Amino acid sequence: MSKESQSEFAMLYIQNQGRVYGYIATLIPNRSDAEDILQRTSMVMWQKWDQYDPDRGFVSWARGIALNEIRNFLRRSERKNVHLSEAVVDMLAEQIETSTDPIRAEAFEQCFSKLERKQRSLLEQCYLESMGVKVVADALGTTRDAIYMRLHRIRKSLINCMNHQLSDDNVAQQRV
Amino acid sequence: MNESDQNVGDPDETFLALTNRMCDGTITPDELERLGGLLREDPERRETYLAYVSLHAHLMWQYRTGESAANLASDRAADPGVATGGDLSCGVEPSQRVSGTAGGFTTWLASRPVTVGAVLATAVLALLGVTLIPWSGRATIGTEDRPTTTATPFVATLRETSGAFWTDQQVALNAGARVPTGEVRIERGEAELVFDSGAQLILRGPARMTLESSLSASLHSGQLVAHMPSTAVGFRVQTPTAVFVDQGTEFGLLAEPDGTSEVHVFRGQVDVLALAEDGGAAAANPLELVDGQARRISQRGNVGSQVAYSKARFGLLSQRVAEPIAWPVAEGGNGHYYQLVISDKPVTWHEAALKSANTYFRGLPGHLASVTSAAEDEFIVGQLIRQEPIRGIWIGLTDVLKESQFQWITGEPVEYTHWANVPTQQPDNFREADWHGGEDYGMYSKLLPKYPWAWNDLSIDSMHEKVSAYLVEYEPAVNTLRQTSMSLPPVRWDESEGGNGHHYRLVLSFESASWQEVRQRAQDSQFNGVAGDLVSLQSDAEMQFVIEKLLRVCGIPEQMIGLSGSSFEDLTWTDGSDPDTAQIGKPLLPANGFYGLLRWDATRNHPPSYGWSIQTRAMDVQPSDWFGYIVEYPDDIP
Repeated sequence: MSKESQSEFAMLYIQNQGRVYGYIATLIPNRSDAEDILQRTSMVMWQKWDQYDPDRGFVSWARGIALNEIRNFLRRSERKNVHLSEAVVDMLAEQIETSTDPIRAEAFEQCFSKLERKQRSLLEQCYLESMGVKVVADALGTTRDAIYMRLHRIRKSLINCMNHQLSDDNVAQQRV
Repeated sequence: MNESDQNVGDPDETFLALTNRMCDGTITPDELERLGGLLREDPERRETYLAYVSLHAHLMWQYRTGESAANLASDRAADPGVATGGDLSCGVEPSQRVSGTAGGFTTWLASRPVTVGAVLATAVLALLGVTLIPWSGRATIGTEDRPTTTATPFVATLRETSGAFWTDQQVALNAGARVPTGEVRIERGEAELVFDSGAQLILRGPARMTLESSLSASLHSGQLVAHMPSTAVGFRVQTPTAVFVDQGTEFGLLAEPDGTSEVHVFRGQVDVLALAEDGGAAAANPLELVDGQARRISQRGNVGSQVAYSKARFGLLSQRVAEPIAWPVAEGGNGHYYQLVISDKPVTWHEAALKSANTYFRGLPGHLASVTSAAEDEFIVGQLIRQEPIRGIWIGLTDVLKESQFQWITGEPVEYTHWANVPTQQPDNFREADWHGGEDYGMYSKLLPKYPWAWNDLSIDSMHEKVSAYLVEYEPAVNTLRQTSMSLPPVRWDESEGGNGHHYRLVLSFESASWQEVRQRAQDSQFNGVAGDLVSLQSDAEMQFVIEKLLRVCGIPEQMIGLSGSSFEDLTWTDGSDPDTAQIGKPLLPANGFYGLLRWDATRNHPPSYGWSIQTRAMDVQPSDWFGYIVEYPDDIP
């Protein structure tokens, strides 16, 4: 592989790593498992880079490889009772291909910025890898379940907000 | 009992609660079974599930530091059963953590270089960069204190930096690091940031900028150039005096210490919004700037005034965001991509040819551009060269193999031409004789601003003009394109001229190679179904034929031939015959093996040899870069 080809891989990889991670973590919403699959996927992408077909698009190519790795992961995982079955994951993967990306960056940023500071702070504390829900709950003097409920509410309000954004856009487009 | 069980009566709420627990990692095996059943039944539910879990995944990504990747092995060992404590927890005390801010891929490689293989690991680490920094940047939650952190998700990756790149927490980041929202600064050098939206910003120090989200940033002072792919349309950069909204583009932006800002649109469109005098919301009606336009805004409240466009103002920085552009089939084009490369120092045509052959865009191999129609010519001048302040641009056209017989590097026939006719008609070979020397390399040139862009021929050393730009064309792999060589059709040494009926082909190689490699190439090549070999010059007559037909009219000063041996005394031709060593230049120093070459000496440029003689060189000394070689194809009827 030439240096330039490596550099192109690096650029596309960096630009799209969030999308690839998002795809994996949507199908396997468990942090350390998603990490594991991302790393395996990245390795395969690197090894198969000379077979990359630019007409197909980088993300679509990466998704194909990731889905393979997800299936392999589900088959060898010893913790089958924490993941959806392969059949359901396949159905979900199929649906992802036909539906629009629910997380549009613009809508997310707008909705995220509308959250209260307290809510954003809670998201960071819970989602940052260095912390944990138990630590957060202890620090706030409450229970883990209470924290999970708050997280649920924040996620629901973000989704509702993004849905509005989406339909607003549709209205705007119709007017044009 | 979990609080979410309160709403167990409502099926939608139950479904959402299960989804929620799936994300948190608190779902039980029974619940997982129910969730799977509900998802299987109903595509609309799957849609809801995907929206919810995608958000969860996006949040994980935003706050992902990469450290769980580094701790993957230990996590797995420590957590063999059902996740009981919730997956959001890593189970390690924050105070003990060291944050690996590189991506999981690089962290993984760093943690297991032995498994992956040292070579690959080294290559990839150097490529993507890996860093470990002390996790001092974020406040941790104390047991007594209320949380003091502010939400600072990661929104970009630092792809490269040539100077110290600081966050507002006084943490210096290395290439490969994820960059959180907040202020960053660079005192000197350049730093390339790739936002998660795909936006690419290159900052030149001294510069100060605040990252706000994956789609917005504020440049307080300094210089940047931006390349915005379609995923980043809508990206906003704010300066102290205005807001700039990308509409799919490449542009340069300056913020001077007094707040004055200047934007130069290299390609595409940028909307400029005036900031209110008090720094409040930007005006609603944007001023649309398109490529080749520039604007200077020295105070808030208006969109400033037009200034002279200058890509050069951003120097080489502007090159780094100049992506190849397509000539779409829909617009009458060929679907190929083109790129104007401007270097900071002169390049020879051969360097440009080799560099072009070694570049790729979207997996398509590059080559020095071939301009085979008026439409392509117009596209190149209009869309690529435009008003660049340069005088010459190499293209893939040369007559170095045979004087006055120009050919494209791709092998395409030269039918369309656009030679300059002012101030003098080109190609003029600079009034040289019809053979060696003179001007053999094609380029676009524009000697004076009043002349149009047209072709000129120039010599290899470009003594009278420094050329530092070249044009690359990317197109689907065709056999000849992947090769770093070019040649003319072979010439036959006819029996009527006392010849042997063999064919002789002169090949130009753009890159260095050993004699063995070159011989292999010769043997792998065919003409009329007959495999070739490096030439064996058995007689004076054969030598004379080669000089007359191939060498006298070519501009390559050195050609490899089929002569080799472990010592000067046992040199043999590739056909097994022995040479007349009296005719061959002796090597200066002893070596383990020699090969032969035809070399041109300008001081002996007269008949019958015209300066050409057979010389020898140590086998381990390769030509420095470009050189020629001669392949001989025997008569096809044995």
